[in-house]
Amino acid sequence: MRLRVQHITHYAYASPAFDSHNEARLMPLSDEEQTCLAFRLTTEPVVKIFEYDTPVGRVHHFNLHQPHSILEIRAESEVFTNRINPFRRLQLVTDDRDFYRRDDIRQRYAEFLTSTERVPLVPETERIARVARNQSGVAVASFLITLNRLMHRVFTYSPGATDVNTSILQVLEQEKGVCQDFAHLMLSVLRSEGIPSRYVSGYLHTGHDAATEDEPEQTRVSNEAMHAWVECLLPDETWCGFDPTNNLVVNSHYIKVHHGRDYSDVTPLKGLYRGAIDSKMKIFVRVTREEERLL
Amino acid sequence: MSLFESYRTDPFFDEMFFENGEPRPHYRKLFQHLKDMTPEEFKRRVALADKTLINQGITFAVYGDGAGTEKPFPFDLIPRIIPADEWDLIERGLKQRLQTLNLFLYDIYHEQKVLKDGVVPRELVINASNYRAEFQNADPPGNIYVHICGTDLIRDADGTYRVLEDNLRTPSGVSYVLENRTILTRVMPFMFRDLPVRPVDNYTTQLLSNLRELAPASRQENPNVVLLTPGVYNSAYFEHAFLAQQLGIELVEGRDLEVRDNIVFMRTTKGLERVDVIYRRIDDDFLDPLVFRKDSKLGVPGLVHAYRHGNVALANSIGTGVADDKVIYAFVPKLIRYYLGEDAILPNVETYLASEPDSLLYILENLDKLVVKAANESGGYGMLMGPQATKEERDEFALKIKENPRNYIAQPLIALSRAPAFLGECCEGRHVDLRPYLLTGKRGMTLIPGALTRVALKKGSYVVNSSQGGGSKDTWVLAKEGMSQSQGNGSQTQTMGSMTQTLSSSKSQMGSPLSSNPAQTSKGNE
Repeated sequence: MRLRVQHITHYAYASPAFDSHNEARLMPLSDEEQTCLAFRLTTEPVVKIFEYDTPVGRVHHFNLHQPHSILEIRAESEVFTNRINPFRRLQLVTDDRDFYRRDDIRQRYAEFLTSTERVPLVPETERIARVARNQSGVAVASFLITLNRLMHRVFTYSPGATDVNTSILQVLEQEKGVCQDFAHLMLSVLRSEGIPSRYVSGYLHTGHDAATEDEPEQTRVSNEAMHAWVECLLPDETWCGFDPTNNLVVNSHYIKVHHGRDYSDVTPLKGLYRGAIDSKMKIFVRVTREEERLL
Repeated sequence: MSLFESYRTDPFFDEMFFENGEPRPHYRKLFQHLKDMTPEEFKRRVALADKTLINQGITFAVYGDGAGTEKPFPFDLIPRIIPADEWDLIERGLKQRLQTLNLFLYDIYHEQKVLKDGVVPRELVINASNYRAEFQNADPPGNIYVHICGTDLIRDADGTYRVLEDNLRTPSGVSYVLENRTILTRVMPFMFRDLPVRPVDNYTTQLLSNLRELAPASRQENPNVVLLTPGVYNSAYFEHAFLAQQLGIELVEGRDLEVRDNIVFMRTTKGLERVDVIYRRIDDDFLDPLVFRKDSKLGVPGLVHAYRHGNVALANSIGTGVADDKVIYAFVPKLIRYYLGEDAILPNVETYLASEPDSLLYILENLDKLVVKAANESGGYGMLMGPQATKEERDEFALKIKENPRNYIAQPLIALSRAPAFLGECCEGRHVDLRPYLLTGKRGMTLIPGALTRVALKKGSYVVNSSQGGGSKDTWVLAKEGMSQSQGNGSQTQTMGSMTQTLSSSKSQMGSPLSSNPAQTSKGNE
């Protein structure tokens, strides 16, 4: 599937900001399941943009010293996604959980088994894990699908119910949150169960079509910002994406930008500046499907 | 009455005396110089030294001690002497160790072969609190991570030198090495007579030359080197000011620097001035709020990007703390074998890792015999001295260990060697350690022939940390027979003159704290 992403972040400052330093993780990565065909990052005011590569993906950064009352960051990309039907990979019949007890596996994926500031491993998640275990079969994939569904059923997607620093304990209590909370909470359950898992930031194509300008399907959640989901390590040592916010196994409608231990590793845009105390941020994200062309 | 009349060595290894009370050969001359001195005479010298310390503001701060935290660092006037052959062993051992640790750091921030080969469990490195994933794949100049290293050595009951701790982040204390020597040459000049004491004052010259060499290729001609301090409230601020003056470089705080398009500049009264090398005495966490702790007001936003792009050099590099972690410490002998194919010249102290189930059991059952340390604390904080702790203290610590085994190690209590210290009326044996300073530059490693000897002045205490009531001694490394390198009093007097000047100006700076604007701070240093 050929998808085009337009992601605009607009900051308006009450009084001029200056000495602004910013780092962006906005470029979709390329792996076996997707290829980033084109990427363009521009800003208003115009600045020189620098970049470096990490083992996961590319990071861009820039600074802006002159006083400015707005800062707009536009990321545009074109991505070809080619995820095979995820269910073809999921083995649902035999007990394959021994894989997660292997010491070599626990070492190789240690960073995705650990507790982090945003993904603490706390006894409070045991309740969810227990229900998911009781409702699933012996295979780990069955547990993952069940947990994904359970998350979707128990927790209500509610924009504004949480902010970027809400703890998973609070989310557990209020049973409401946004995709970031769903992902962090699910990671905590998975890691407590000893399943290596990572936080993924990206975009979800919800039905916009370039040709028809259709309205997005209202049932799926992704607009207004970037999306987030999790990836779990399967016993064949490949990663499979699960989206607890939508109860979906990740397919070709998903565009992956970055992954890490938690949100802090993948923060799409972070910045510091002097001056203005108040700023207003507006985000516009649109994912459209392009007509398939022969490459 | 003489200084050593009632001196007892039992039951410890004594640096100065054999068990029978005879001075060891390398201490014989010093003993001759001191044996007829009266305590009254010695006390007069102590008073003179104390006055110098206070006048020069040689102090450190103790955290968690409420108001008025600045204290003078107690200085014991009886030097610790290390003969040439012992120093040779220390030198070879420390260089072997630091070479290994630099290779280890490069490896774990690049290919991670050592982890893939299972020499160190990957989990211990990747999930260590001082591992900086943000710095993966970045290349520091010359692939050197640790430019300044201060390793803590101890001597056990047999007199064997052992490594107790590696300090690869921002090791402090070298200012006392330089200052102690200066003061001692002034108040006890006769002690140096006929002894080939190697001079320590080329430390700053070597350090400066190493730092300058780190500058980006295009800036080699006349690189601008600065010392970045967290500010006057840091426990080592005196040292920061002292070293900046000795090196002849600017002492700056984070707010004095700014990054523009990956170039670091210093704000001065004449405008922005490019900075090429930063001797930073700020921890990683506080270095750059954009990349690390965003609440840090001490750092410089954009600094890590500038470093990544090779436009500025940092000493030490980022992420070195993962290699001086007390858990990784236990693996260093293995790492030496892995990277160099050699056996460790300086042995470790036997170490139990609470992260290993069998060891955890052993640790919990033997808490009354062991010293337990938190993996990432330093300065004697977060530590349990089992044999001296109360049952409540041990129980409390056991809980902490069980909660987070990865964070604790345990070692048997080593009967640290003792050296005579003057305690008001006469000399008594007190436990000592040894912190030599090793520099790595693009052209090799240099060990300063001297060290900080810390002494636990409290009777029976094993804790030498300045924050826990320790003092220091001048440390004399003797030149090999036939080499005449003795400490010249003449040159010292000269140094002394400039030092006094130096210190008075750094003091006046300490007197004008945070309110000054950055440009003025920079100017104050010129």
